[in-house]
Amino acid sequence: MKKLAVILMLLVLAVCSVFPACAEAGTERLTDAQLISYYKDAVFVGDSITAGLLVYVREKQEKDPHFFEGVKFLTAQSYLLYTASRRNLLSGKANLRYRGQEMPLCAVLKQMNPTKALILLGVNDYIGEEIEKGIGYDERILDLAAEFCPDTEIIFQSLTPVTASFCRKKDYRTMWDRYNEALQEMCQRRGAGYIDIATRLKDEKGYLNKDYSNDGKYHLNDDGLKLWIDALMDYAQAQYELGLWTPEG
Amino acid sequence: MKNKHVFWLIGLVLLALTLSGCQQEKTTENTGKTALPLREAVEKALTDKDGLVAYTADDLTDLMGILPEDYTEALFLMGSDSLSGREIIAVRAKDASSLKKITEALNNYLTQRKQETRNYLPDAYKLQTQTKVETRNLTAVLIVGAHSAEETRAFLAGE
Repeated sequence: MKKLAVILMLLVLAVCSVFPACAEAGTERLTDAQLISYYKDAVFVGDSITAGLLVYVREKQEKDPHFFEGVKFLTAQSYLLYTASRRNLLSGKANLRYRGQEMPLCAVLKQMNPTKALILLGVNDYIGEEIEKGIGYDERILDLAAEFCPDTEIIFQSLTPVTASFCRKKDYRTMWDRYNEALQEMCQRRGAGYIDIATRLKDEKGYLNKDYSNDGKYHLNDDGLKLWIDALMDYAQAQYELGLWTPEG
Repeated sequence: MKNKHVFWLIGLVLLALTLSGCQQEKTTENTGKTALPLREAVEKALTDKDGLVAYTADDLTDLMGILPEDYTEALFLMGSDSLSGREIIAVRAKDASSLKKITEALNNYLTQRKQETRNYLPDAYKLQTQTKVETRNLTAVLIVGAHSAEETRAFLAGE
């Protein structure tokens, strides 16, 4: 019996020496519940695309109340990246609502003081056509966040891809891809987070896979939203592996 | 003598039971509350109940500023296709002053929703312009959908 135990121990040691990753902390895949906890007290900011994610999350919560529990959403249909980058409220435009009041993004973040703000905006600005301007708006959001909610971590999410049918008149695919590249570069330069949700939603030609769209343009159906959630989980896992975050408990 | 006491006792018990029964009826009548829970009452009134997702009390507070201390029951349902404009908000207020606050919040919300969809989602905008916030007794409701008028009427009839 003792011999068997010694052999087993030696076997475990041998396996760990061949695969050193097994022995290191921070490389195993965390559970879904642990990964979701990365977004505890976070807020998702966006337009109708993020409103789709809100509906998806609430639907899941009907069966599992812990699914993204405590995560907040600030969405307005047709909300502009430009509007989000302003210090003051823009009348006549779609604005975010908080506690029944229309407010600029920076003011809402100041009141909510979330751990993280995950932003997906720019589609309604057709920002792929004005990349430099768009990145300027993104940088202004970072500046305002530093002033109004310095403890909140700002994470930008890539624009969702566009379907081939939406690109018949104009090559939005290339424009949006370029914007996403510029956004990622800016996030690296400024120390903000960046989550690529676009890549896994694309077909072999780089368009939004039509199986993931509910409007034939850029809005996502449940299958597409599931992949978005997967991207969020993978980002949390990457933060863990980089030693930038450890789940509680 | 003993028989007389028993007779009086039975009489008093019967009187007490009758009075408590009347009191119960009066309470229900005064508050105007139905026996149906809110979700059941709303779903009974809807002609189209497919693809509706329940939002939370926090959503009601965050989006509209409607506070839990102002209502006894609230329901916020959103169409699973968030672009359709379909949504139902029903709130049973605690008292008349709360009802006033809730109605105002719902009216503001509808105005803001119309601003969001006006140049963006014409079908949703049309549905929003065809509806309004309605109240009966202490209940306020906002129903957006193709049959909002009849759904609102059917729901409020039971409130």
